[in-house]
Amino acid sequence: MSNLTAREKAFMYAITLLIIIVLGYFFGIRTLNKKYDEYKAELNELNERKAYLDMLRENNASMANEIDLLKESCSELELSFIDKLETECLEQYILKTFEDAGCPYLISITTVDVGMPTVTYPDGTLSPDGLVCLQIQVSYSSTDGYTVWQYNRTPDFTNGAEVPVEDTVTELWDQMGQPPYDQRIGYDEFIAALKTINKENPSCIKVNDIHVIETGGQLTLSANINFYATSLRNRISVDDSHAAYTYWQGDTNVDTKGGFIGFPYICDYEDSLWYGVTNNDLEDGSKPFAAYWAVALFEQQLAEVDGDYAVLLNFEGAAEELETTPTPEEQPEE
Amino acid sequence: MAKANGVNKRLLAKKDMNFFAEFTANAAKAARMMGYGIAAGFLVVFIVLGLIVAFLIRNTIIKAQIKAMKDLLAGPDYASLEQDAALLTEELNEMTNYYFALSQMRKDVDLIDAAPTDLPDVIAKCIPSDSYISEYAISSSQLAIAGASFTYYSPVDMVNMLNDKDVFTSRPTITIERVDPEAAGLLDDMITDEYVNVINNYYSFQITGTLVTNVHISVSRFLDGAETATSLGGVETYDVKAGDSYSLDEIGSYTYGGVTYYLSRIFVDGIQVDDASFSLIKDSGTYTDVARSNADIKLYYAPVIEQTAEG
Repeated sequence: MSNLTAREKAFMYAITLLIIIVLGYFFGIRTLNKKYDEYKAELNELNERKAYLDMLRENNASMANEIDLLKESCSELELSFIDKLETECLEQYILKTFEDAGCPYLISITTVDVGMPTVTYPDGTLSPDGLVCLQIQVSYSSTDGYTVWQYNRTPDFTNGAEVPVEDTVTELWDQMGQPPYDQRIGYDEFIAALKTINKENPSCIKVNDIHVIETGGQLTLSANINFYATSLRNRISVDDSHAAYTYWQGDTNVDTKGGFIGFPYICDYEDSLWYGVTNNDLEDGSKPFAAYWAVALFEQQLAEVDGDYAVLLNFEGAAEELETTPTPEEQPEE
Repeated sequence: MAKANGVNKRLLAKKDMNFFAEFTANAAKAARMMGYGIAAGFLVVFIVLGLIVAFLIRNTIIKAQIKAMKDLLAGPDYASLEQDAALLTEELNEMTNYYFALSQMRKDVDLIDAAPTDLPDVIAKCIPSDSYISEYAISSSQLAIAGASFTYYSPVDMVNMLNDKDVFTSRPTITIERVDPEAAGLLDDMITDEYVNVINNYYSFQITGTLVTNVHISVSRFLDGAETATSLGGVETYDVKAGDSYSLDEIGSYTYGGVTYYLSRIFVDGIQVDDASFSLIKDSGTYTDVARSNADIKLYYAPVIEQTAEG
């Protein structure tokens, strides 16, 4: 180096400087700038993503708000239907409404499931949720303005009656056609009951049709009443209302001591209000459990007591009483 | 004059002196220039290094910004936004479908009218004194009456009175028949030794008619152009008295889920409203019709297309 001339040294120096600058540019500035551009692009991308996510957050908030509003609307709609249809509650409600209105002379009441249209989504797929309709069909009678009336145990002619049955019958015997039995009761009361039912919950309880026809002096009054509910897979609302038709309002702690299965020839269950009542529904005389001769003997013995099961079975000593009761010919003349 | 190598020493010394002086000056100048050059070189190197350091710092800063941004986006505020959006979209679709289903159920029930329980009272006030009703049947839309009267005017009088009370929506059918004497009983039943059953000729009648009821207008909104039909909200049902006119206002646009949509088509009972009528409806934003019978109106909406200031 020391042998180089100043010009050569300067040249070498310039070359070295140039190399340093070039190296500095290529391996320093250029690389860093390139990296910076990459970083900047990445940062821009991240900023754009943040902006997108910020927008998404706003959309999410808007969607969440929309969902909340929809849930409120869905809850309102859910509650506009009856929560669940309990047949016994509905029939108890209907029977009570007609009785309270003064129309207690029931002919029949029955429930029928009414098919409702399936629910489809806008895209044509079937919804798992659906409408449920239960129809209560009732038929009542008015009174005829003459005959003494009775419904349920009013008046009570059962063995458990507080007033002896004989006394009640004796009291009513001469009242046929007399006040209040000269009144034809039932029609106005039937219509009043229907009005009450129609007003109870007009969006869910609808009187479907009414039919009135005269039948031998009294009127037969019929109506079909529809109750609408929903069968929902994921219900949102909780129905804590206590409408008369949605929860049990009938008797509780019902006495079940005297209930029985299968009516004998004469009811001999002392706890039953049917005690002492003869079975009137004995048309089918077949006895698959019995020998042929036994069946024949039964028929003969029944004929001998003129079909009186009480005597045949000696219910409460009826046979002995019959034997000791003097015949009209034997009665002493007074 | 002494000479060295044939050259005058005096002259030579002077020349040498000049040469050395010149040489020394040139050397000094060169050294000075070299110093400037080195200084300039250092300066350039310094600048290059400075730029490198500055760029390194700049890159470090931007890297820190990137890291901060990444941390922010990975943080609880942002990390689950897309997942939340997907879940919310799914939930919104489910809720929209559920709401649509519920409102459709509501519509199905609302379309069923109850039998008018006030009608028996109206009927009771319209029975002429020479008549009686032996049977009647009332449904939500029909009335059928059977009875008997001594004059054949009474059934029509009865219908006239019922019409005065706006019971029927159309002309009811009235059938009046003279009751055949055989139906009234045998001679022995009418005339006995003790009395004569002086019953007049009488007529049986049947009246059947369609009752005045409300007309139900159901309105549902759908997104137009979607691959699968999508509802915008539920089904709305309006009760209108038969024969009255009704209008649906402000139907030109509809905002749902924060998005405003614009009316694109209308179907009434499955038939598309023609272009001319649709144009008028779109301009006024109101659909008007007369309630002749139940109507199912489907409004289709399209999302708004954003236009630039130039466009």
